[in-house]
Amino acid sequence: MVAAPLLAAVFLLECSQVAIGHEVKDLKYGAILFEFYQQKYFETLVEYEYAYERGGIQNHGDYPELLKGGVSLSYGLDEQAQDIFDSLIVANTAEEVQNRAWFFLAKMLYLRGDNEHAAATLSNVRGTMPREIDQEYLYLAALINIKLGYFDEAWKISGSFSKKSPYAPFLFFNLGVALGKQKDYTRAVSNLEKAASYADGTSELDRLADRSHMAIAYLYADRQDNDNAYDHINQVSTAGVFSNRALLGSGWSSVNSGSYRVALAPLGVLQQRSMAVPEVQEAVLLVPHVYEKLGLTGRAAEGFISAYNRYGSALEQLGSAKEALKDADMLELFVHNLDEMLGESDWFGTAPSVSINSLSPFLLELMSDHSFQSVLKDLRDLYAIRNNLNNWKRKQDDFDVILTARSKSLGSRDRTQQINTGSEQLADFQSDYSTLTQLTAALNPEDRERVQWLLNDIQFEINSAGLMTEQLETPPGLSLNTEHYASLVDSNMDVLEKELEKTNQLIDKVESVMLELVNTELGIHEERLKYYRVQSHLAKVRILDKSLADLEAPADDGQDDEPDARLPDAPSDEQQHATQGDGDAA
Amino acid sequence: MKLDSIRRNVLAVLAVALSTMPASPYADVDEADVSGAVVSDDGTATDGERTLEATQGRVKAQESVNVLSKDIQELKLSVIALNKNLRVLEEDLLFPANTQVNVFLSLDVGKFFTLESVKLKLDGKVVASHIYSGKELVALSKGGIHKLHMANLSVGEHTLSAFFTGMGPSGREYKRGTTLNINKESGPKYVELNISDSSMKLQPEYSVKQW
Repeated sequence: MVAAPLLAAVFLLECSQVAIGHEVKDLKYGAILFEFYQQKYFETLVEYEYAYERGGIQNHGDYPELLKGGVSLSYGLDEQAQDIFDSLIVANTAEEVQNRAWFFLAKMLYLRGDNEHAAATLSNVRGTMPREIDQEYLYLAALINIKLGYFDEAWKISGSFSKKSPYAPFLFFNLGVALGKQKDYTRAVSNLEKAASYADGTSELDRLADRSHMAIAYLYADRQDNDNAYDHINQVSTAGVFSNRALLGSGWSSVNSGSYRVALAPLGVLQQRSMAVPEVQEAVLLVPHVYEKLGLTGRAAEGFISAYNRYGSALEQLGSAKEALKDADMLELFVHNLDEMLGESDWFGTAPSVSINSLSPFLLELMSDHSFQSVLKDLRDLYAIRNNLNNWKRKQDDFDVILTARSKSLGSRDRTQQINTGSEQLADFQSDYSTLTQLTAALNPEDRERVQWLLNDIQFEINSAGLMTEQLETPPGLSLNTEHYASLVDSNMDVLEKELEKTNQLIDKVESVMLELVNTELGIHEERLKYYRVQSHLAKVRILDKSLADLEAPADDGQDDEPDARLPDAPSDEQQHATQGDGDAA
Repeated sequence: MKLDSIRRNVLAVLAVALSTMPASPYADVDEADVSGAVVSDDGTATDGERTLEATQGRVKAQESVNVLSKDIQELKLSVIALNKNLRVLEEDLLFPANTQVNVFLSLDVGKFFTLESVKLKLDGKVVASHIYSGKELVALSKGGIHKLHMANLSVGEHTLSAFFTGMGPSGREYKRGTTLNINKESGPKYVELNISDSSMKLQPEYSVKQW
């Protein structure tokens, strides 16, 4: 599966309805977007829940919900996503919002493999699609048509596709492959050539171009058109992910046409690469076979001996990889490293961009498989959840300290002393006020009126202070709140323990699935390596037997056993060393 | 060594390779077409058979994960809810509504200023500082708002100062500050620090908004 730009996220960005220069009308929504744009989907969804708890998101219409649906998909919560999209459709929302929701729903169904329902859902779209998702909508429609076997419909859609659309090369490729499977060679090659023409120096499109050339080569080979097949194989980059297959294909193409010397060049390049790659494993055996075909039995024997040793070393490496997986924390480390390397955090997204040098090379092919991606993302999320829960668990002590401090502060000596001092001062003020009232009463009415407003103010202040002191002396509300919070902490921590237990159980289950996948893959490598090793051994023995028989034969048949000076120097130093050191050679 | 057997294997591999490589921005699942798989003459597994075995293993793994999917989704939802509950609880305990003040930072720039870090002072005392990562800056530039600080403030007048560091219009280091007197009343207080481009002055502008 090809790594494509993170187009899945594009629609999410569009439905966030906030771009540069656009104002966020609710700080809570801004905080959600801050997490979302960093592709921190778990945190984004927590922010949503927090926003609901603190009064919801205001003044952004249905867009926050639409975005939440998309984020839910990205975090692997497709049931929640479906509920959100369904509710947006049922609700009396604007046509544009409904169209978006139909589109996302159809996309989700398509990703689940439910193509009939995806098609039916997409047919609910009315009017025009928002411009920013129009091309993706057409792309999805074409993919669903391809899946349902309506190739002509998909062909028509491809004709109306904007050539500048980021989806265009992928549509042409998928359509080309689909038509190729139908033996519709002309249209298949035409679409694949269009896909290949998008190569622009970026890794994604270059890789797609390589795949397109490989697919075209296969289509030509299927029609016994070896020249064109060879031509397209030679257009595949010699350094990309698909170069191994292309080099092997090129070698085979030459072998098939009897050009053995030509075959040695691509096979020689391939031979220098990692033995974890199946094409290299095959090339290592094929090269001495080509020497044998050329009549260079000496060099062929060396090649088979070297191949035998290289397979042995590869099997040892494989054994080490299998052993390493048995370590307790190895799988978590492995998943973490893999996730970092794949650089892909989106459930809704694409296959990963694979770096050939960064991971256990035996799993390279497996890594690009959808099922492996699924397991990987599940495990990654579960490990993250476990870390999150453990972090909160460590905060149990913090909560206890806060609660203790709260309850102590209510009955502390300092606090009691301050309240007592305040009460005494209040009593003094009340006494002074009484004295003033008595003195005022003795004044004549005119003078009394002039100071009465001051006395009223003082009385108000004294009453307020009296009320506050009374509340401070008997704080039933605060005390009750502390107990309430303590109970909340306890209940949440109980939930946390249960969730942690569930998480660990699920991790165990998913880890066993992952281990099975990895072990199956390693097993397949092992079986292949063993098979090739036996083949190289048999070939070596056969050549040596023949050589002995030839030596014993009375007449020289004129066969040249010496290497041809014009040939490329295919056997490497390593092979030569291996030859000298191989006891089996005798 | 059987050349024909290997050749057939290669064709089978190519057939499978073609059928299993749908290029799609969506994570697609295509069943591998193993119709071209061949059996070697000596009865050992061919590449086609191995590919079939791998495919079956992967399909089985996908099925196993699908079975667990519902449980995983339920777990995710309850952990999200638990995170919200614990966060609200923590805030309520540490920052009661009556004294709570929240400071946010938003960005609407790119031309005249590249933010690197911010330092926040409340009543002359440094209470928060943050260095922004590339991802955070992208998030800010697209409309995200960073919750920079939460604190307790008593009712009354207070001074809030923010100091921004980054790259200015000419690519040189740029430091600016802004101050606001805020009146804390009963109830939570929300303050937004905003940095924006001023096309009139051809330089960044810093403002503080009270919500």
